[in-house]
Amino acid sequence: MSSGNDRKIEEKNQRNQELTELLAACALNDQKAFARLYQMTSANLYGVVLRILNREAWAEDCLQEAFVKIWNNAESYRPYLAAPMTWMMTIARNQALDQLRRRRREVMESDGHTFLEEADTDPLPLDNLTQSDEGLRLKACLELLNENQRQMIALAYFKGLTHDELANQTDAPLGTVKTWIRRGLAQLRRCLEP
Amino acid sequence: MKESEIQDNSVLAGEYVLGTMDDADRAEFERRLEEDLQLQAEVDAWERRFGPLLNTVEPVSPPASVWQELERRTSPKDRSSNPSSGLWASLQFWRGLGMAAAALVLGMALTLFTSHEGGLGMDSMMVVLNDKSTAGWIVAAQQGQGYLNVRAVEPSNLPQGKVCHLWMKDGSGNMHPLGILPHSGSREMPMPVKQAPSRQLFMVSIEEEADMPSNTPSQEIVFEGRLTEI
Repeated sequence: MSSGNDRKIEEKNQRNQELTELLAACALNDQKAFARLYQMTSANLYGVVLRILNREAWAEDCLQEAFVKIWNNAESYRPYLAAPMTWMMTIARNQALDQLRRRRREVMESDGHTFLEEADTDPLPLDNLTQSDEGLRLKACLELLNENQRQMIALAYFKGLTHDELANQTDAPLGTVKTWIRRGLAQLRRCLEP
Repeated sequence: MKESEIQDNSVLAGEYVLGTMDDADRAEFERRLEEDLQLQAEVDAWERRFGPLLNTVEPVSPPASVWQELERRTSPKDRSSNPSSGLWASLQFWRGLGMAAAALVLGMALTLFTSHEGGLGMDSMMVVLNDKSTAGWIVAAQQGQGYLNVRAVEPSNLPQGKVCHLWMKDGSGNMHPLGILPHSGSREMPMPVKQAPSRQLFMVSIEEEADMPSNTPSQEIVFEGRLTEI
């Protein structure tokens, strides 16, 4: 391994270490630590919620709710279960998907129309999956799936589309969509944990 | 690929994390998730597997107004001015502090206690944290002695009419009331069972002074701990 790579890994470990310590301090009500945590991670989390929600006003609300959750639940963070960044981004993603589902329900209840985003043509960003070992492994395994499966995984993961909505958007029968996704998941699991 | 492989709990957890379940299936899955530890582990595993995808998203700086609002919402003033999320939220934190924080203050408490009691021969102790996560009380015991010594260090400031109630859960899981944590000075509390005090689990709940429960805490537990041998 090159020394440049070693240095990158070292920097990442230091950052993870600092984030873990900041979360521990947040659990003890340390607001300075919370401010530093926000400063270090808010752009990453905002990027994620903006990608999902696609509207700045919603994304700002969502980012705020996600950080309130992080502040209130910092004591339940377990470093051995997930890297701090993964834990925080998962909270942000779930918050954004909840909000998206709520908005979809409201639209459907008010005028009977299905709320659908304009087709999300962003492909799965496979080329960016090279920043970590886990990313490289996931990339290799996603590349084993077919194009349809990869597109559906992107639509579901970043847009929270349900089986039904995926079938609508891709003009495939519902049963087929379900099978593709289940097979894709089973394949991914076997590939990631042989 | 066998049908059984794509129908199992792990694939179901994968669908949940991916987000493809409709509202009814999602609600049903979440009900199961609350009680099923193994299912929770499957969900955690999928969050981890897909986690690297989140790192591929380009960071975007949020507007400053988000932080201003957050700062207001998480300030201590805000916590205490709103009784539903204020006091009780901070009690939640108090409970969440756990053993790590208790260990941090144990050293300091040991110094405090031994300087006060100078060789009373107590052989195990516990620090009960206050709502500011510093040492609120020290509980000390001596093997073979039928009582605990409880000393106030910096008790939590509670609203009028509320008190901190100390409980003990014995080895068989039975709850015993021990008494009210003092606002100042020290007091002795009789031990209801003869087993070694270091084997018992101690708990604190916040109770109404006017309506004290006698069998089991009526409010949530804000502190749990065990005596440590010294």
